[in-house]
Amino acid sequence: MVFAHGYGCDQNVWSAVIEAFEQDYQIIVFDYVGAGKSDLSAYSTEKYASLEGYTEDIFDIYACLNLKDTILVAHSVSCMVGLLAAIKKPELFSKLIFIGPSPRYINDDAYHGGFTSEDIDGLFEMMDDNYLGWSRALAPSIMGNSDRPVLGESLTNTFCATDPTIAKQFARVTFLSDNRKDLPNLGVPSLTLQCVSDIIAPVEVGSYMNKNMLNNTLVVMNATGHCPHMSAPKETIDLIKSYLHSN
Amino acid sequence: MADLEKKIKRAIADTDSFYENAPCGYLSFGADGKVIKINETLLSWLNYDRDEVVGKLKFKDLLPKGGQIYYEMFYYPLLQLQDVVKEISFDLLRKDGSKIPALVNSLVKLSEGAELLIIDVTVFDITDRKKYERELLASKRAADEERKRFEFLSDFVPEMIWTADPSGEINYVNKRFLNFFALENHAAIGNLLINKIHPEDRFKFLRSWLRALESGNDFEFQVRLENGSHFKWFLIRAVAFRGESQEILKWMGACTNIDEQINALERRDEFIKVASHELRTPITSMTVALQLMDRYKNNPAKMGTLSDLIVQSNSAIKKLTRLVDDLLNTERIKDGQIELSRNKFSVRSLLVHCCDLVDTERMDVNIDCEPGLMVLADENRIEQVVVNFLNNAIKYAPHSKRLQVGGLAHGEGIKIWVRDFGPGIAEENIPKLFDRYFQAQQKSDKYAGLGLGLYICSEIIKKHGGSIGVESTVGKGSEFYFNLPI
Repeated sequence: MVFAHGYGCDQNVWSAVIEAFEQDYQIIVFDYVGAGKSDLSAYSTEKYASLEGYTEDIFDIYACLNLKDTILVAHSVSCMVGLLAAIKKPELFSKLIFIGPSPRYINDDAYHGGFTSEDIDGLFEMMDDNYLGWSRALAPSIMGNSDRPVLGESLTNTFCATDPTIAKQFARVTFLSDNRKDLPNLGVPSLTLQCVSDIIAPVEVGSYMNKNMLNNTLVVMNATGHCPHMSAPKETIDLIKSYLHSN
Repeated sequence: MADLEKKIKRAIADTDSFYENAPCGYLSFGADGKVIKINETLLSWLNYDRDEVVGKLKFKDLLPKGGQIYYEMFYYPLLQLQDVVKEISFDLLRKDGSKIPALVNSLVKLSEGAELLIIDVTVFDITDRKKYERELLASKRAADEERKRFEFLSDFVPEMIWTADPSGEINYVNKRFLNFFALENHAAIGNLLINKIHPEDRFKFLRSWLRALESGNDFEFQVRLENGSHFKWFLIRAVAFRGESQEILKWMGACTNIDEQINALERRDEFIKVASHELRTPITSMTVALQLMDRYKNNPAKMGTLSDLIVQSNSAIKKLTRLVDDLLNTERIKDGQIELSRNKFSVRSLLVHCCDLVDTERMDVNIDCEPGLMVLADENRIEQVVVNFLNNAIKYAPHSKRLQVGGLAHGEGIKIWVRDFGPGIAEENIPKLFDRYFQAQQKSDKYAGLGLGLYICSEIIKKHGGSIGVESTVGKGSEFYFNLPI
């Protein structure tokens, strides 16, 4: 069972759920290149300019550990990374579990992704603010530093601290990608765990995916927000387990 | 008395009042995100009444859409992973939809079962800080732009440009500077420049530069800089760039290549030395002759010597006339005053006549030219050129016994040449041969002359619309030639 973290964090997000599966499965957690404790020097702006770059990370891990016939549990943007990987090499995956997936975040005619372009710009601005804002404890050394101001947060918020340039590119790739046309190509059976009132991936998006994919089971959770594996680990575990048992 | 103390204690213990009126906003929300408690300060910042918020709004509702995404993707996972999340910058929405920039600190309180129970949030209004941040960022961008513009311009100009900090440490050089010293980047440039200055100039340069750094006066100094295997003259200049209170911010400098000018001046000095020397020899000779003539004028026994002295004076005058003619020719050529009077003449006759004019007694001279070859040109000027070629051949190839002179139809015109079998000319000297003041071996007194001959020749041929040149091999000899249109 392979757990792929979503945008903005690293493998630590899975700590509340993996224990429940350790008895029955071999558990693999990892950080994408650019996230967590990965080797930042392996990051290249060209390779990771699209989600395909991240599917390469998955293939690398599978090749290295000689994995196949796996259950891939993916959160948020990782769902599309996993989808692309499973279309390309279906033999590696027996089942896919999508938590809060979305093939397209921005509204498009009749399609409701949940965001306008302006909303996404707001996020990018917000990210800039948080990397530009200097810590109260530190004098502003913004002038002396050629490209990058001192990162106040990274000193205090250690878990999800990433290189701001990488974080920004990942955000662009995530929020500006459109994988709707890939949905029908997935042959591997999948489960979508959809939270109510998830602003990142609204219920409409879950239904849209369910309609456009073969062999997809959609379950709407009681949990709210975008991170049920963190806010409602028990419900998440139970739903995954029951899906795996019944299929 | 005891009553008063109690009252004071009670007043101090009124933490509610501290909470409500703190200079920062306080807010607590539960696992479902709903606001449980909020202080007066934050309510007034956001323009809400307490009962519009508590139990009704979620913390997320106070954020614009971009902030909500950020909350879901970063902030919430962080809260789950860390007990404390410090200094995240959010824009909070007021009731009317306007934004207030805030810095948010969060403290997570867990239940006994380690489940998230309450999140206590402290909010700082950072409107002012935001403003300063933006201004700072804007001025940094402006400064970057300014720096880029300067670098672009300084790479564009043909000079080597550099800047130094107030202590004199070089902190920027342009591309031309890097190229001149064949450098990849700016590292260790300070010491390098000093080491590239000619050892004879180095100490004086440093002394003068240090004096300028101290005084802040404009700096100007001529040095030789190493360029590959040899040195070239450069003028190094620097001016202090000053701030509003006249303090020196940096030094702006340039290195100008003045090698040509310096060399031209040196050549001119050398020429004046040679010319004075050349002019003095016949003058001395004449002075001596006149003194002797004066002494012998009434002595009939010395009449024979007298006629020898007249011959000597005439020869000296001739030499002087030739030297002065050369100088005048040069002046005229320089001013573009040279006039041609063209007539048609036989090339062969000209060559024969020229050979008669020079002292070829010791030489075996071979003239190779069709008798019928004619050319339209200024005969006297062309004669001047051929004679100059012949004289040079005799002067610079004294041990060569053979001399070949020739003329033939060549393309649309004719070609005339003089070939000697002397020592030849070093390759590096060939391009300079037709320059003013150049002499093959300037250091030697053996080859007297002003070094103007070939320059004058080249100008005469150019005026005719022809071309002049030389082919030479060291150890074998040289061929001087010119082409003329018919």
